Formats: sequence, C-alpha cells, structure tokens
Amino acid sequence: MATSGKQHTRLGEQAWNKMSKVNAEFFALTYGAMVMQLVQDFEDTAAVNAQLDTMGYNIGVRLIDEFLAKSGTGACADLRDTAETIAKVAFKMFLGVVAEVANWNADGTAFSVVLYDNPLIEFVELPPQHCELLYSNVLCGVIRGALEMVQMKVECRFARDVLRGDDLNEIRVELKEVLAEQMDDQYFEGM
Amino acid sequence: MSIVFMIVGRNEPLYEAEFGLKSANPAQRAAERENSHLSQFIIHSSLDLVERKQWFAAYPYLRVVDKFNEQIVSAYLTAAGVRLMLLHDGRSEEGIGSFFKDVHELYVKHMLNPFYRFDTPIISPEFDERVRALAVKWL
Amino acid sequence: MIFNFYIFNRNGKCLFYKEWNRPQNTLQHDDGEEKRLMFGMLYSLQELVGKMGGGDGKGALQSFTTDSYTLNFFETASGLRFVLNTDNRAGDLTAILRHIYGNIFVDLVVKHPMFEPKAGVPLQLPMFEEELEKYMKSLPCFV
Repeated sequence: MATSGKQHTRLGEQAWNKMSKVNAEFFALTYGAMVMQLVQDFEDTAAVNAQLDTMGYNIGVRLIDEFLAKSGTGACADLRDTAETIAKVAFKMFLGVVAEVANWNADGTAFSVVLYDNPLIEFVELPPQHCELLYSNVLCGVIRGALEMVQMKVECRFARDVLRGDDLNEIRVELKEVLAEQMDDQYFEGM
Repeated sequence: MSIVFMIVGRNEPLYEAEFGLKSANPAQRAAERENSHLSQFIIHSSLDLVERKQWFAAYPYLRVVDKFNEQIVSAYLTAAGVRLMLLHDGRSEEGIGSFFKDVHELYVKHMLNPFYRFDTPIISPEFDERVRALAVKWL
Repeated sequence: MIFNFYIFNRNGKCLFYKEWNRPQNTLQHDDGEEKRLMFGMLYSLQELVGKMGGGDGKGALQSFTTDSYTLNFFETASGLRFVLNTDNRAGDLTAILRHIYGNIFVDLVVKHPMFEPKAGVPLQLPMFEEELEKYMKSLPCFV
C-alpha cells in the first residue's frame, strides 16, 4: 500500500505540472462571488447547499474525462485505489493540494477525504447568520459526478469544515452501488 | 489617556476600537468612557481636515491632521476613500505609520471575504482581535 | 489509409461519425443500423475477449484485422469508445486514439459549455470537427 501511495503522489505531481494555472486569489474570489450570488438568490441555506452540490455534479461529469486523459490513470482496481486516486492525484491536479484518505468503515465501502488546505476558503469567514452554509459543497458534487461517470454511485457530504470551526475539512464518501452497463433503448428493439 | 482608532467609510464609521483603558479605578474608567464620546467627536470633526490635506500631504499616510488640546489625530487614506483615523497623545509617527500600514493590509484581506460588502461595518471578531494585536505591537 | 471514425458513449449512442475514404458501403441505406451493429459487435467482442483473457479483461481489445481493413479501438474509464478503421498498412494507432481523446475531444467537446456528457446527443461542434479533420490529414497514414 505504501508504494502505491507514493505512485499516486507522483502521478499527482506530474498531472499538476501539466495543468495550466490560474491565480489563486482570482480563483478564490470568483468562487466566493458565485457563492454569494447563490446566497442572495436563494436565501434558504439548504437550497444553496443543494445548488452548490448540483453545480459540482455538472462539473464532475465533465471533469472526469479531462482527469482520465491528462493524469494518465486508467480504471481503478478497487475502491481503495479510487480513494487514493481522488486524494493524491485529482485534488493535486485540479486544486494543487494533496488530501489524505482516512476513516475507512469496516466493510470498506466508505472513506473520508481529509483536506488540510482548501484553496476555496482563503479569506473566507462565515458570518453567524450563515453558519449552516456548506461553503465548499461544490467539491462533494464534483466527486459524486465524476465517480458516477465511472459507474460508481456514491453519496458525498461535508463531515467537517474549517469554516464551521472544525480543525480540518473532511469529505465523507460512501459507495452506494456499482452501476451496471446499460444499453440504449435502440438495442432492445424487436427483442 | 486611551487611544481611539476608527475606520471611516464613505458615509459612516465602519469599525471602532479603543486601546488602553488602563485605569484600575472604576470611577476613572467611567470617566474615560465619558471621554470616548468626545474622542469620536474630535475624530469626526477632523475628517474635513483629511479631505483638505489629502491634496498636498504624502499619500497614503497623511500623518498628523488635527490637534485638540493634548490630543492628536493622525490619518491614513486608502485609494478607495476609506480613512483610518487614530486619536492619541503623541505616539511616534513611525509606529503609527506601521500600525496603519498593517491595518490597511488586514482591511484589504477582510475585503476579500465574499461575505463582506464594501463600505459596510466590520463585525468580524477575528478582525477586531488582529487590530488589537497590531495596536499592542506598534503603539 | 484512414477509412472512418466513430465515437460511442457508454450506452451505445453514436456521438460522432465521420468518414474519409469508403470505397464501398453495403449498409448505405441505413446508417443508424450500421452504427448499432458496430457497437453491438464491439460490445460482444469485448465481453468475449475479456472472458477468454481471464480477469475483468478491461482494455483487452485494442484492434483487429481482416483481409481488407483494421479496426482500432480505445475505451476510456468513463465509458467512451473510440473506433478508427484504416487499411492494413497504417500500423499501431493506439497513441493516435489517445491523442484524439486527450487533446481534441477533452479540450473541444468536454469543455464546451453546450456539451452534455450524459445526454448522448450527437455532437454538432464545428470546432471539434475542424480540429479533428486537420489532425487526421496531418497523419502519415491518412492517404
């Protein structure tokens, strides 16, 4: 496991070097402006959280192809491989930070991605009236969307959030089912 | 004698802090608080002087803009027209300059918080804490 | 010589088809049928190849050759299937299919705001077609 972990880290570094970069402050401010707009448009915090998740999902279903093509990772052998790939390769490639995998459940169907450094929340301080807001919820959506494209249905939620007073960010990922290949209707005609 | 610091936006004060209410004697402390209304008044009245001085003083640290009895008002003007004002009894100009510069930086960082809207009062406890730390460091 | 090119999604919808050289076409009357047959054949072939190879057999099928043509095949983990038919002198085209996926498809289709990854609608993106055309024609095995 230790060696494969190193290999993931190396792949992450390589992918990171290949990606074009964007100014971190610009990125954080753009995201912040978007979240603020949602907060103003929806008022209800639960709706904002859901909206961020949906946006993330729509990003994830696209991002997966960019990820597969540019990182050079193929199909994962098992969920442990998937978890390491998300934490060490994907987070490094797209956000420039490395996450850790932790807290496996007994069946090996759920794990946490622990993020010590979250570039989305630079400068952010949640005011008391928005203490229920999952500011970085877009990340959950991205993971969910990307994994769905490789036939894994997962549930994904923020378990701990630095903005809400926790000491680190933890995204809980739970595998619900592995989707079967499903043919389009045109293949069932006349059967 | 305490020091009063104020950030004044385009229309209203955004932030206010008072450093060094040191007297142990409660009666004296009450008197100091009484004074703080006077302090605010002094600062407000010197805003006009800031406006006048901004055209010929070194920018952005305008140094001393007003004097009232023993008390001195120093000012710092940001590009967006936000004024940092300090009422004191003759601290070193360099120290005040450094204090203003650091607070300005802090203010700029605070502006980057998406939940803060420009020219609205600053209510963040963290900001307050940091300003107070800077006051201890420089004043 | 390059004959034609297909992109299928995971469900077998043909997202894109383009032909450059096709001397004879016995399925001309119904190109929907042809695409369906193509995908069906590949799907069954993949299953069979996988089973015969043991394990999960993913990625086992890369190409096959008949008397008159070679079919080059590349499947991504996200379920996209790229198929490129050539004559038998074109050589190994795996790298070319990867390039089409990683540099042309990802940049010009996946990142296109109007592209819906899950909808399975045939692509109508002129930029992508142009770029693909240019790339194909630059290949030594094109003619």
